Amino acid sequence: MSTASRFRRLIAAGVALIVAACSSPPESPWAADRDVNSLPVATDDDAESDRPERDDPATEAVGVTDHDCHLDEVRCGVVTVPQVADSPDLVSLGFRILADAGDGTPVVQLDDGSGTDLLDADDFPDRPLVVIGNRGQYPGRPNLACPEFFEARSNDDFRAVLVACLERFDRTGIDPAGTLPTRLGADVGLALNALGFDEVDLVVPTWRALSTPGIAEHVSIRRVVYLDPWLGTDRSVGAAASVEASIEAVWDRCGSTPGCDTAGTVADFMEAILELDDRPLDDVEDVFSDEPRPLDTARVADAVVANGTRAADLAFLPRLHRAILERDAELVSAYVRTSISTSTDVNLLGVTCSLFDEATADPSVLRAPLRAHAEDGIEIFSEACARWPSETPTAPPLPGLSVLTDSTPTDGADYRLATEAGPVIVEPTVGLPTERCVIGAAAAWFARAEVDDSDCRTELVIGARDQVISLTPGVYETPSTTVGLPVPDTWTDSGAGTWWREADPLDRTNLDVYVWEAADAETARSQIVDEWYLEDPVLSALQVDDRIWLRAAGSYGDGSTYDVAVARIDGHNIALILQTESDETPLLVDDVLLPAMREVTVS
Amino acid sequence: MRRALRHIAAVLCLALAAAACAEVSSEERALLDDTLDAIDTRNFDLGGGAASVDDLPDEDFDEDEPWLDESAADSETRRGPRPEISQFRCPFDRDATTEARCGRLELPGRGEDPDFTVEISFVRFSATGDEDDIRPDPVVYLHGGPGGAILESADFWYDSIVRPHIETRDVILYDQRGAGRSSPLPLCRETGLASDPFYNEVADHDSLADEFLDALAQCAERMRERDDIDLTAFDSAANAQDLVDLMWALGIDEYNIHGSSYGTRLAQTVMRDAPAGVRSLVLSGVYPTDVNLMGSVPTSLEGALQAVFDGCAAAERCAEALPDPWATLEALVERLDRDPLPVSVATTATATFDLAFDGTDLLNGLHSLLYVGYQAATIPDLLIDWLDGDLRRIERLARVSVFDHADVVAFVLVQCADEGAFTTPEALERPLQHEFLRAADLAPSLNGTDSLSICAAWETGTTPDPIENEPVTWDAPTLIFSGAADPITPSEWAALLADRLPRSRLVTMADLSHDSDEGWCATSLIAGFVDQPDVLLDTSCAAYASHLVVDELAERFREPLSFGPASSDFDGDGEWADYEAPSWGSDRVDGAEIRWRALDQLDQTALILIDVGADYEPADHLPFGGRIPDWDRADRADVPEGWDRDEMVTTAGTLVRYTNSRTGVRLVLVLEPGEPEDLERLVLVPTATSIGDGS
Repeated sequence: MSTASRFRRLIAAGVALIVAACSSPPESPWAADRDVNSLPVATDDDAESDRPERDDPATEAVGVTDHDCHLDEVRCGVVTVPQVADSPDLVSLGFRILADAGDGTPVVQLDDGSGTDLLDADDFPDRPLVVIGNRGQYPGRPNLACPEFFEARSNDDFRAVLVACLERFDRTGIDPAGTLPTRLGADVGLALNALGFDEVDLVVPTWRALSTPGIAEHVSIRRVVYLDPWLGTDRSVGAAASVEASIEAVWDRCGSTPGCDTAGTVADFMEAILELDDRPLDDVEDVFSDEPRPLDTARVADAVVANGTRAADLAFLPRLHRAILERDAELVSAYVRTSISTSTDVNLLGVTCSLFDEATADPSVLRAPLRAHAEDGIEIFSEACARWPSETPTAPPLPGLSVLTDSTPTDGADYRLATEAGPVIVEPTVGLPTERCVIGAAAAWFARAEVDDSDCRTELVIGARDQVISLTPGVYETPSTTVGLPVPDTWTDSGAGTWWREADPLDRTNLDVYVWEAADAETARSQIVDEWYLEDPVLSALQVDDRIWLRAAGSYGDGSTYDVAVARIDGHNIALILQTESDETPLLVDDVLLPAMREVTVS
Repeated sequence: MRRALRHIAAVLCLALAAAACAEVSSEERALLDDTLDAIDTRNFDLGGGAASVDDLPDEDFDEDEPWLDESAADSETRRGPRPEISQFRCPFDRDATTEARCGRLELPGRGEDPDFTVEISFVRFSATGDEDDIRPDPVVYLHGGPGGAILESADFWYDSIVRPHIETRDVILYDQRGAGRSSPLPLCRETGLASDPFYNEVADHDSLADEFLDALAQCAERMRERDDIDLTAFDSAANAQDLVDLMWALGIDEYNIHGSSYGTRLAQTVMRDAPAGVRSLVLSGVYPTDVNLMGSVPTSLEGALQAVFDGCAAAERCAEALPDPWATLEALVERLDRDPLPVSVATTATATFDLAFDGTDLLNGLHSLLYVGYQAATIPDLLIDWLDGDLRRIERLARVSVFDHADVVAFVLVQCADEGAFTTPEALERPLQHEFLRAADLAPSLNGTDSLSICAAWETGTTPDPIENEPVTWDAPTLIFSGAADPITPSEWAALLADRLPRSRLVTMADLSHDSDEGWCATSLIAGFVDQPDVLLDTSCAAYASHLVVDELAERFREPLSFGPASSDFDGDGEWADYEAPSWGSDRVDGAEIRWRALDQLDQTALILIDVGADYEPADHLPFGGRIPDWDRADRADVPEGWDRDEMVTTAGTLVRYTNSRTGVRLVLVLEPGEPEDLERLVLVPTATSIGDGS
């Protein structure tokens, strides 16, 4: 792999490992019964009565600008806050307030590095949900990105472009101290003050936990929930170590999951990655180069670490191991591509450098392929952090509830600190705490009720592709028809006639139902040909029980296959489409498509 | 090395070449021909000759519409009565979606003659957004030059200057005193392109420089004799006060400045003399008050060329074809000096000037190219083509290197007052890296010697105020752009000013030049900055290019001729017809679709499709002034049936026009001199054939 792309990815991954850990699925559509007018708004009276003392940093908050976010029940905008204390230069932080009819204490979710929302307004029906963006997250500004990294071809280049980027920051008024954890904590207090809130409950994801001393200083906190991985004051990168522990957890679970096949031990997996240096696979596609580069040890190890905080990616690793052993270059290449990031974002360099301590970072404890990745990271962060300020939080974190998973090294100092700060829930899964676990725990904690951790006991299923399929009734309703058919019980119903398997991040397998009106069978046939871009004539006839189905099969550009079955049932035209990967097609046609063809009803 | 001074206006102008040195259109040139001798210079209106607003036919024109809203009009007068504003028809095509009002106001001359006054013309574009979102502080653009103008080309600059703000803020453009539509507009017809035999009768190329200086001196003498112009009234301090008065007249308490080139120096003067009300500043092509401009041009030229050659070194094809660009350039300069390239250059549509294009001419021409980033990026290919024996780029550069000099007065006066007064011959020493540049007898605008000579001829007798040569600082948020290949205001100057301003943000555009505030990155930064000047910017868009883009541009220019589908509603009946046309870059203006061949940035060759009834003059595409010749019917055997063929042969090229005899649709091919006749067969014939009868 070229040094340049490695730098890019390491920078992105190094930050992302800390940042992305608490990402979650995108927010659900906003419920329509919220009243934005019930939101607290800063008034002159408020300002008079609650005006902080002159030396209170909250006086630094300078303004709120609302933007039209084209959603009736959502207030959007930016809050401007000083870049650093007493600076006339400002940064802006995006915010969203999802209104709630209730007047409960607002729940404030601090955006995580990935920018996705963990919570939805429906999770706390009697409270407004407030999301405060991080520095650099759109629509806030500035984002500290270094496209200069794209020019790096060597270590010397990297140093030069890093300096060039930092000089550009300097010329445009960027003070690196604005990225330090305590300043990020102060942002929260300033933003909430500017928005008119004086009491909130906080959900604090991953790296924001490091800024809790700042939050404690500047925010009138009521209760706090921290999310895994809990970042205390231990100064260590630890990303590769966390991933290694997660891999161990995945292998453990696979061992007790029917049908799951790791094809050997974790050591065997690591050895297989190492052997890629001797016998690299040919890459299928390389987004960074016209000439695809070999899939060697470094590229695959980098991908494993970069993907190592997402549960679904971790669950894929047994399959990756088998693909390496089987020399399946297409699948390994696809996996590596999922980890590629072109981000040159260094917004979190202040946090990263505050966590990083070259003196204590010890990659020797890691297995060989991950060790090399960690060594690269140490080299890069040593370079970057030598030019970027860092700080060691001095105040203890706020008391709160911590939600951790047992696949990260929570038995260290971080775990002990979390325990000292308050109750700890440990979810026996890999990667992130599950959404249900977090919401249930947070709701109870905020309500001062006993924390119910029953939703935190579900283990991630490893090896879902290899599961024995059992079917359950599925329904797809349109304004004029209702389709009933058997579908795999573990597949996710989209509600729109598609059931997704979602076994891992590369899984494109789904069963799709398509119903449409047509004057006659020939028209219906030509329409489905047009709709699915099938070559005409393509349909062959297949009788299943007493129905004649027209079928077509082929493959897409991404390598997946489709199998289309079309029939006219009770005056309705219906198509069942199975999309999956070629090696699974025969099995899934037998286990999924044919049962659906046999039992589908339309009314 | 011989000297040629015809570039003087082009290279002296600090503004972008297109703005400050734009050629006058043929229509305007014809008017100029008729009226130059009788110029009153007061209230001189080049466009349409309208003498008063009462004559204007514009239905939307409303002289009685107030310029101030009620609150401003009723506000307490702090500075005496507001100057009255009279409205006039804007000298550009207004976008139907944009409200633009043009006005002018009379202001004191501020020179030695207490009776002398000037009129400042401006356009105010009204914000288009929701009323609640419109901010009270407009953006005011300060054009370059000095003596450049913006009003007549306001629609050209709309996208880069006006559009970034227009949803939430009014944008005001105005012509500074002595420029464009502001009056008086003192013109030196002695050096003008259209009216005198300056080029056409000069037989001895070596004497051009001296004759040009003599002509300027004659103009100075003539101007001194006039009692309606006060030559002491043209300097930056007066310009700055004009801006303050304009804001006062419009009832504007707070405003934002966007200044380019000389406009940045004017902005500094404003911040020195009258900073109240300035909310923020955007400056591009920074010209600090205390630098030595006249002595710096050669080093700036050298630095800009180095930036271009760095871009070449970073581009695989260019680096291979041009391994030592400096040596190649030196060899080309030497070759042209030894054996100048004969080029016939059009000075009017019917007159030519036989130019022996020498090494100095080349360097001056390159200096002009360097003003705009994407033009600068073509310089390596000019050298590569020469190495390959292809001189067409050099010829093309030579043909467009003649500029009109008549409107040089404001430039000379302001520059001599603010810069020449503080420049000594010793300051003109050139610390150059390349010996051949040092040895070259560069044009006076590049070496500064003759600039001082010009200033001596235009001496007004006033005592220079040392404050004009002192640095200026301020606290207002300031966004500064610089271009790495800027040949006139080098990026070091931007850094120099930025270092003085505590609230400045400096953005260097590695792929741009004196046009560093143009392009999507700059305009988005400007919009965000003016919206919230105190909030720091994400400048990463400026970091994607680390040098001038050379190979990609060359690749685009080398695309072979191909045809693609096109469609047009030729007669405006709402029914669109499909046809085939060259796959060249296209633009639509005034009922005409223009397809540019763009072999390089100087290529004038184009195919123009003019809708039925559209009032469009294709001759405007050629770089000449004066009256244009008539069309001559000149049929050819291969003209498709149903089309009539006409030709217009000019000094700057040939126009071939096909007119559809049934619909009136016109197709015009603009051919530069030296183009093979084949181009008509290859481009015009198949396009007309595919259109058919135009129905």
